Amino acid sequence: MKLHELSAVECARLIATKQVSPVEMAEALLERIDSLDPSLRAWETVDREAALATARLRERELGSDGLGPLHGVPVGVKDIFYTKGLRTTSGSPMFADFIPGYDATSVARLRQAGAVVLGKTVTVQFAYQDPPPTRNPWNHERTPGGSSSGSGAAVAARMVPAALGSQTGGSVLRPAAYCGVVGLKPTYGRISRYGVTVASWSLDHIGHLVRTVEDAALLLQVMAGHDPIDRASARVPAGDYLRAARQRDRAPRIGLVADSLDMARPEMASHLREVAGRFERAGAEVREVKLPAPMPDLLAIRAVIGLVEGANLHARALKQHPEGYAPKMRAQVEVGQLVPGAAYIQAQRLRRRFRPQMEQMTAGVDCLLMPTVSDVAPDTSTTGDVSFQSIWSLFGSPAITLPSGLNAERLPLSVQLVARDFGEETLLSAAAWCEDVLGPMPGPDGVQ
Amino acid sequence: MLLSDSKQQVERDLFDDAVRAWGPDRAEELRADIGKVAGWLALISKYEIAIEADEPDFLVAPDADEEAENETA
Repeated sequence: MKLHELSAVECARLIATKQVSPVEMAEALLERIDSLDPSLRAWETVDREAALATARLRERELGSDGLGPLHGVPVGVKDIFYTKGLRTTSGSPMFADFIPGYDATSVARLRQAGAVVLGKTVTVQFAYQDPPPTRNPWNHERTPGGSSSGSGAAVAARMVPAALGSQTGGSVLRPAAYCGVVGLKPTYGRISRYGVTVASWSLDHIGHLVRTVEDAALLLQVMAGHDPIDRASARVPAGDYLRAARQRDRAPRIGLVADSLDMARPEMASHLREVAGRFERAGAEVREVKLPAPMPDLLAIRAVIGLVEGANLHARALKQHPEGYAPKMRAQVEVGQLVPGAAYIQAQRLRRRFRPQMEQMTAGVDCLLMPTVSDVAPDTSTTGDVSFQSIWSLFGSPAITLPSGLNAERLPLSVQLVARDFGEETLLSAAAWCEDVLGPMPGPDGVQ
Repeated sequence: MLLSDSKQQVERDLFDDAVRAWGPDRAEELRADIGKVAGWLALISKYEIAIEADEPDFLVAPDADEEAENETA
């Protein structure tokens, strides 16, 4: 048994039944990090001593009642999530030595469920766009995407079965797609944002990167639910996500967002149609649906909101500490301050106006289907194209990306499923069914 | 700058604003970013949005019960 190949669900089960020790599991992954990370650079901080201490505690706890669903399971945490006693840099030299005094709510819930935090994964600075040092495990000349760069690379390279991410534009789903793993961005407010460095108040979502739909459901089950200290936290009760992910025998009704394909490269558009055909032959009902407005317009709405909110957040700090800002981040803050307030209001009003029409797209279907990304992972001068993911950051809809194969260059291909607000159970059931049709995704060549 | 659905107009206005804010050299360095943002602004400016009766106010009137509680206190 290769411990690093275990999913979070498998890991939890084997630990709970004492077939694998939490210490053995943590040691195996820490050794794998030591071996692979000098070239992949997925980790900002590896907290070896604390991780092993926690693993030893989890081992002593085995056999007692009330073990959490992630008991002994190693996880990674994107370095914008506050971790008590462990440095949290947000990718900026300004915070190189910042050590939070408390955990983000999402981190606290993972720990309460028994997870073992191995360390902090690399984030693009302030979760924006400056390329990180992290490399794509499939090809070191390609970006892993961003801003949850380290989480994508770490999960793909089997350094950890699950890692936290965040998405303001496309920062969970895009690295997941480029790295060939599963990424889930739940509904806006589904997972508490308390204790996470803000990128944009009305666009930030918490999500995670894993290797199976069942793992996506497990982590969501642990983290979802109202948080009274996060004002944007949804009061809608959490669903039974694990149960939904295990109900994988019903073929879904799928709305193919055909007009989005114009913005995908030909290879990706062709792949998406081929996958839709596979789903149809396997029993899914597939019909075409249309966006309520041209995709460039929807992308512009999100971009203006994110730009202005980000600029407002960082204007003072940029003035006081310009050396703490990477080039793209600095440019965003400067240009964002020039945008008139009327434009921001226009964007928010348009968002509100289009939202019911976007929800109407899911009427009569279980989920929408579109590309996750416009192309496979580009080179390392960029973190990639945010287009296909950011529409769902704008409208807050839950979205999941599934790896769907490899292209001729052996770079991951992917597809994205989207459901209506708080429709994570429907989304996960549909995704599980699709995952079975697509078949298992191998790990990256050269990191077996 | 004023909102306009002309990308060229918006770009000129934003660039002039950038010169005033950051100086001509920095404004030139930001030209590509300014062009991108100008495109976004022009796209969203082409929409005329009628005000709806139920469009939320940014200043919310206090709840009647809350007012009564405050008076009692």
